[in-house]
Amino acid sequence: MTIRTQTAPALGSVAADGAAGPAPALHVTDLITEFRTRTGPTRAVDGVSFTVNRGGVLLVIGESGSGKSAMLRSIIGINPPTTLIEGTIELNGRDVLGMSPRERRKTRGRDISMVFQDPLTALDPVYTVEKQLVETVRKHHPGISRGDARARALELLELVQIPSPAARLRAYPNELSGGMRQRVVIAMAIAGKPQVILADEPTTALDVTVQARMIRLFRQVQLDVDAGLVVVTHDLGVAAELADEVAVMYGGRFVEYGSAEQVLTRPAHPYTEGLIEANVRAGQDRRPRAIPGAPPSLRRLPPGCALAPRCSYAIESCWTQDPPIKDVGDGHWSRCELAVDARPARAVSRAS
Amino acid sequence: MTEIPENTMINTTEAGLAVAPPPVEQPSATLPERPLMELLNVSKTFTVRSGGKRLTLSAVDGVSLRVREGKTLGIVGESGCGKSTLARVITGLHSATSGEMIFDRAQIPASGKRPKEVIQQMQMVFQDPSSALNPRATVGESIAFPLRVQGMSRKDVDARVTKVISDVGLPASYSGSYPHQLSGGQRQRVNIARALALQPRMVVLDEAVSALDKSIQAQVLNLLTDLQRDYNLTYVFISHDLNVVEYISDEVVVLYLGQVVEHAPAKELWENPQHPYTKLLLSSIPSMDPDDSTRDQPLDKDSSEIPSAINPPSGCRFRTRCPMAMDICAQQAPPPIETSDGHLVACHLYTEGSQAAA
Repeated sequence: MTIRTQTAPALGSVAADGAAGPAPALHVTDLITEFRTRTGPTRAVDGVSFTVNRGGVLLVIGESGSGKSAMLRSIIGINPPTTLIEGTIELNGRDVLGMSPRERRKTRGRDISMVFQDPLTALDPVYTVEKQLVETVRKHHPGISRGDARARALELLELVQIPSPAARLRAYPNELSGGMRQRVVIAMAIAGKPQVILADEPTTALDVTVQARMIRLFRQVQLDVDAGLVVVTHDLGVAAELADEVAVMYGGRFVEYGSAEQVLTRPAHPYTEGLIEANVRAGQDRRPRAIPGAPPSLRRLPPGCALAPRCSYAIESCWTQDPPIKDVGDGHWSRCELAVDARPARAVSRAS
Repeated sequence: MTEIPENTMINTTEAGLAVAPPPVEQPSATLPERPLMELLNVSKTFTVRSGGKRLTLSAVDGVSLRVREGKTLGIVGESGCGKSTLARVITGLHSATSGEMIFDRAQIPASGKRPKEVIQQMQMVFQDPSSALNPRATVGESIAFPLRVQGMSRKDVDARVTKVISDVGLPASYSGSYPHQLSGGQRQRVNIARALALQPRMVVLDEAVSALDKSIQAQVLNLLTDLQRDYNLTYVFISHDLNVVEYISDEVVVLYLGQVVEHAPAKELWENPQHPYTKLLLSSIPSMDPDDSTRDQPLDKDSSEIPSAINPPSGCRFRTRCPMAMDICAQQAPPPIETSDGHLVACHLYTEGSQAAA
């Protein structure tokens, strides 16, 4: 497999602002993540580029096996050591891939942190919330007294709006509800005031009533610590609620990128359009239009466009050639030659 | 190990009906939509140990509902509201602590062994398509097993397996495949095929599409509606995904801490929700429209903590989270009231036949 050299055009408004000012919080260029497996190399991420500034929110939408989690793990650096990673990852202008493991470790929590889907496995069941939070605080503030660290832990719990925080400090993770646990995890993620927070399906395991609050809380906390946020999700509703910019991932690559409004209401890539039409919304009478087949295995990506076997627009060249990037305008691009207007007439449903 | 190509799917609607539909009693002309199944005041409690004490957990409490033949009843609620316990009580995996169940106009014992004919007519599909299948059994063996248990001849079993595999849109060759060779959506099709093998009249679907990717979820939902039409199946569809429940259901029951708080036709429930809990649920659904984003709205008082089913609040169980709670709510449990045709709500804000001023 050859390394694709094609780079994406300038990415959206969030990125454009940063030109004259300070370095963006996170700048990823041509990221490639390849796992070594018994059956040969598996390229989970294949040439992804994007920029997130402080205060900005990028949502990455994708189905299982699209490479979205592998991308986050590569950025924070927690993939297995045998993983091949190429490209550049700049945190605040500093290239992390060139760092020693010791330096890299120091960036975690202080410059970049991550929130996982399942808060129960992210917390240690045998220690209280206090023990885990205080440990995190002391790690980031060497020399801080035990009392000050505890005060800071309490402050963090207040920031994530946990009711009666003093009582919760003494609780073990199993004594908290799912929503409370996720708040504790978010509190730990912001303890070191990082510039970048990564989140892998942070609301998927939560009930809908809790999820609605968590989305707003996440946004507020992120603004409080002035961090850039990258969230991976499969839920278009969550994306619409939280995103400034949206990237759609398929077969290890970004296939569409733009503002939330551009991507979710005027999708330019057939896959994004398919996802929106397959999404069932209450009150709809028509049958959802399913995308036929299943997402491709990253071990055996088809040549040409990875979507071609499932795409109703596919033309001959889609099966053989790498699809070129089509600039739709205003920072909105799609990795599909057949941009919306050039496609055969089929009503593009507006998300409403 | 052979890998199975992904994009081999047969259009289910064209698969046809090779086997006669299950014997159905002659439906009376005057009652085309008689209830196939009814629950009357069904409760299920569990005994849990905590700190050496024995406590009673009331998972399902006084639930009454009915499912019409050939229709879909949706059941929604948050985790811990008793949805799955209710599904298991209906299918007989749990025996009810009290209450009555009527299936096809015959009373079924709430506890104890069920007659074989009833078991045959009620099947269940579970959430996780992988753990529901035996990894060491081929697809064909998994589907055939319940048929063998029912004492069917080998020849009939083979014919039935072939039939249901094509019914769910899988190529016949998948009969010899193992679960790990299939994708998640294909595995759930196998589970549906297994549930259909006994030619049930009612299928209980417990979060059956929740674990699937969105593009696959639509395929399975369309398959379910096609099968319902072709075989006049009755569904009890349990899910936390309100969008999906509203889409697939004819009627919807909203459960809160084991009790029914609202029961209405799906469209009516969506357009005219009455119980404060239903309103909270519906307003919590993330909107697909970025213009409707609520992300920068200020956070109000947190009302998302669900009380425990071990020691539920007195009176109305929702009162601790309810923005409209009144004095009476702590004292009396609200009885279900029919506010309009077929729309039941259990809330003190409403009185018989009229909507609350609030």
